[in-house]
Amino acid sequence: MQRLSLIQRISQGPVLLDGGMGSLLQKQGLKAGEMPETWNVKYPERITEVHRAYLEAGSRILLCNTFGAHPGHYAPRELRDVIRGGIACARRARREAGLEEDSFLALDMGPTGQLPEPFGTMKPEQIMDWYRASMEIALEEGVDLIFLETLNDLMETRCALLSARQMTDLPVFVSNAYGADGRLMTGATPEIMVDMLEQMGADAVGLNCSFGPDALQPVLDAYLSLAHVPVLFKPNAGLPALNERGETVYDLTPDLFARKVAAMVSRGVRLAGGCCGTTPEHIRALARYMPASVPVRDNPHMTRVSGNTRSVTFGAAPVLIGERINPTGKKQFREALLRHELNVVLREGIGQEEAGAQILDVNVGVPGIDEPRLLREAVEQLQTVTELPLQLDTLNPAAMEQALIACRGVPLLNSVNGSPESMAAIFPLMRRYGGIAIALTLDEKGIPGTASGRLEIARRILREAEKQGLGPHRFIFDPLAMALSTDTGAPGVTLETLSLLRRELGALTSLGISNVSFGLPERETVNLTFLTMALHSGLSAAILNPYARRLMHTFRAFLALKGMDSQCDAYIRCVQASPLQTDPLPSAPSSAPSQDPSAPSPLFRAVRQGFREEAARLAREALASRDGMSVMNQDLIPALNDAGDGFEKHTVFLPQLLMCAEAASAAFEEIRLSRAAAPAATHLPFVLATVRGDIHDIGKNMVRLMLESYGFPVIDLGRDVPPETVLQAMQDHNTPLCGLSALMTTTLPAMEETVELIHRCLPQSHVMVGGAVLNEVYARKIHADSYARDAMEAVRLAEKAEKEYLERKEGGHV
Amino acid sequence: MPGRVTGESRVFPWVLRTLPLPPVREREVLRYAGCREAEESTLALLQSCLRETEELNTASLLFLTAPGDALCLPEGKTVSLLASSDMLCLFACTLGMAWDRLIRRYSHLSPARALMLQALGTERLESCLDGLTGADLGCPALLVRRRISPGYGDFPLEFQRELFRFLPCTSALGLTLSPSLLMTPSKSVTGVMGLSRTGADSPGCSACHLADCSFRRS
Repeated sequence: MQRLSLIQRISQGPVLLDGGMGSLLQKQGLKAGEMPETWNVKYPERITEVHRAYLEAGSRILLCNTFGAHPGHYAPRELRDVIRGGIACARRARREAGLEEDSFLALDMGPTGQLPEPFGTMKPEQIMDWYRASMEIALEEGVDLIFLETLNDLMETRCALLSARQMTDLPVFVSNAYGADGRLMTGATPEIMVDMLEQMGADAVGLNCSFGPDALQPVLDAYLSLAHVPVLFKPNAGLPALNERGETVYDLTPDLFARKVAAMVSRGVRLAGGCCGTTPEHIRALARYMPASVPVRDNPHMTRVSGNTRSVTFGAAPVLIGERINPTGKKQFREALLRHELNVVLREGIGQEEAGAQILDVNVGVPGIDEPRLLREAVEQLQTVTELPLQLDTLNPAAMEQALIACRGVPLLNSVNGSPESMAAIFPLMRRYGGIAIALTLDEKGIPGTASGRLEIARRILREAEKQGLGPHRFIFDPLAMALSTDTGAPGVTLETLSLLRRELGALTSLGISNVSFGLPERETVNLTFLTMALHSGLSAAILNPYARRLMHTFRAFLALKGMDSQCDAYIRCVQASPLQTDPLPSAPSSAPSQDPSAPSPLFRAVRQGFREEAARLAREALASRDGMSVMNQDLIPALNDAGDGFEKHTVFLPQLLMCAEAASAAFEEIRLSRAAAPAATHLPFVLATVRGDIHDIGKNMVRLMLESYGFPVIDLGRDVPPETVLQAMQDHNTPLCGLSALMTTTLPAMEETVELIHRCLPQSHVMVGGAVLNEVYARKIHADSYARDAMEAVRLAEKAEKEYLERKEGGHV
Repeated sequence: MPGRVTGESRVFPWVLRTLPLPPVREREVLRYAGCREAEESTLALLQSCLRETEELNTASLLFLTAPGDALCLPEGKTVSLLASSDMLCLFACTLGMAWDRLIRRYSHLSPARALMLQALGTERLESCLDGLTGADLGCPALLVRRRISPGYGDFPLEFQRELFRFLPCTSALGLTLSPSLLMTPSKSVTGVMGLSRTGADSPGCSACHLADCSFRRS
């Protein structure tokens, strides 16, 4: 008999997977806490026996006992032994059962047990290294497929599949574990997972573990209505419970389990088995009820992008893409990027989200910048503050790839065009990492002057993409808006192209709106008229400035007029949230500071009591008649000092102190903005970090806030920072001041190491330490220069250390 | 390693439950935020955080119970608090990832709000655990008397690794433990509870000699 390829076999009818392993081994004496894979070496005959029982029950895909075989759990030699042993056991069982020709062996891989950044400490590259290490051993030994299962985080799943795809052309099946809310532990939905995994080349997708078949039904239904590759299903035998003898029992008998699962299989599942609590008896029963064939589902291909938890579908209502994370024409933004201050990116991200953007374009292209590194960091950090899908905007393929490694979900790639060079750079990235591309209707010869010329380029892009296995749903076409002022016919060609793309190719479209008004007065009027025309021509996505109120109102009004906004709710909300006419300054807003006769000015009071917007507004007003220095020295610093003194005397508490600092920072920002040329910083830069291995940063963030509110330029290196990085930053910024934070006893050695390194290389430096596990005595023991009990003390100590350093420097001692 | 399960033939199964959270104790939230008296703006901040987290109203609890003599815990003063328990309960409880996402979002934008959300999350989790009864843990005849966690007093933090081995924290609860023993989601507690027939209430803060602790309950 000729051995059928696995994929062919699945296309002929549903295939049985196996059932639980761990619970069976426990019955044979595996102790709680003992690693099941060790039995591959210790008791291979018992493992072989379990496999054989499953084969005899009807399983045709055996998952080797390698679920937890990761470098994180085993030393290299041990890892090799348990993986080889696990494969050998399954192979022997197959031989003994006489099923070598009609069954398949899978390297089974579960989660690493470590969480990727930003919630954990693992970098994507580290996770991939782990998976690759185990896969390499298995592939040398020889398996028929790779089975990734019980994964409960999007990023880890992404890394596991990327690793597998890098290593082999064998089939790779991916199975996730969903929570009771129908999402992965870190929030991803079935929709996001299916889109992403299919685009990245998974050969089957599905779900396992967590619950019994009933509870998983909604998630399974979602998979069946979304997927184009085979769907797999491996539920638990119901819910675990205690029996009177104190044993774990699952509430579904083999027969009941099998009937429930078989009914679900008949709706289109192609691979079925069981997870925790299931036994060869469950699989035998399932074999009895299993339908011989299942319907082939013909799900539509949707153009959809996603972040970690949210997705946006194109083709129904037009989609709004925020364009503001872009240094073009923004001096302060550009300078902030050059200084590596990603806070500006985060603020723009959140601001645009609040203004109504559904997707954020991310562009950090500044000449002379390390764009691959910066774009990746911007993507990583943005994903910690917003759940919106991202549009990765770069001309640099290396930067695009770095951003894709860090990206959660299915992003937009901005952009590809009809030139062979561009397609050769972008298509492989789309195949490897997934994603939807914005395709510009231009090529190496430039932008065709006619709509038919642009349409021809779009056709060529689709033809070339198809050769690479990329379907038309992976593209959104940009018919290119050009300035009305230089060619009055240009907008007409753009709109004609848009209509042609829709009519001839059924394509989705996207346009950057604001180019059209370049060089004209009252640009916004031109922009919103053009936006209306484009929307009316069927535009699928508009890239625009979500802070432009009239544009946003127009966009919302269009949706309401098209019947895409029931009760006009979204329109009304949008107009109420950002009215065109700004009200005259409120005389007594509800959140205004209460009257306090002892306070010298309203600004002082607003800052002291922590009313941020009020403080910014009052600072703006004050700056109309006074210079920044006087506002700073007469209002902001006295208010901060007042709160700080209160904090030290225990009459003001931490939240108030922080709100006061936030209000002062907001006012300080107004002062900075008000001056064309900002004066040299009044303080030395201060390098701040949470030490390696530690991811607690709330205390560190408080120190940053307090220092910034007092005017210190803070270089915040974030969490889990290696000693060398701290040193490098102090050298780069030429400063002797540094603060280190740690919360866990386990990370104190890293702190000590960092202090030691800095003192060795920069003997004149001042290293301040702080954090819950530290005290004065321990700080001295690790040779820190000072210990700050709290954020307020950190400011006092920083001022003192700075003064002493400058005095030494003046005295010629540095 | 300090801990182990004795009795090879006995199995102590785990149970996973979703628990509704009790009403918010606002004073407790302020206490966790390090705040003895709150100004108007602080109260407004708390109210706004309460609104933002209104829908985050459940916790997930994973536990197993075993007779007091079946579990060997690392010896010490803290563990001795459990000495007279009839049953011990190993547990892991989490509010889930939504809190981490929220706190991360604000840690860049408003450390004051991030602090208040931290405090609120802690209160939510502690209130939920404080409210557990013997019945919740499958022992209706017993009272929950004490609760300790790795890292409290002399109960070693390293016991986290044991707990993660005894309970399927990662697969059932989505909890992960980093090499430096940090848990994610961060609003999670693991530990051991002592249950017994007769109950003496936990002495709480009054048993502690740190009189000037900023978290001390008055």
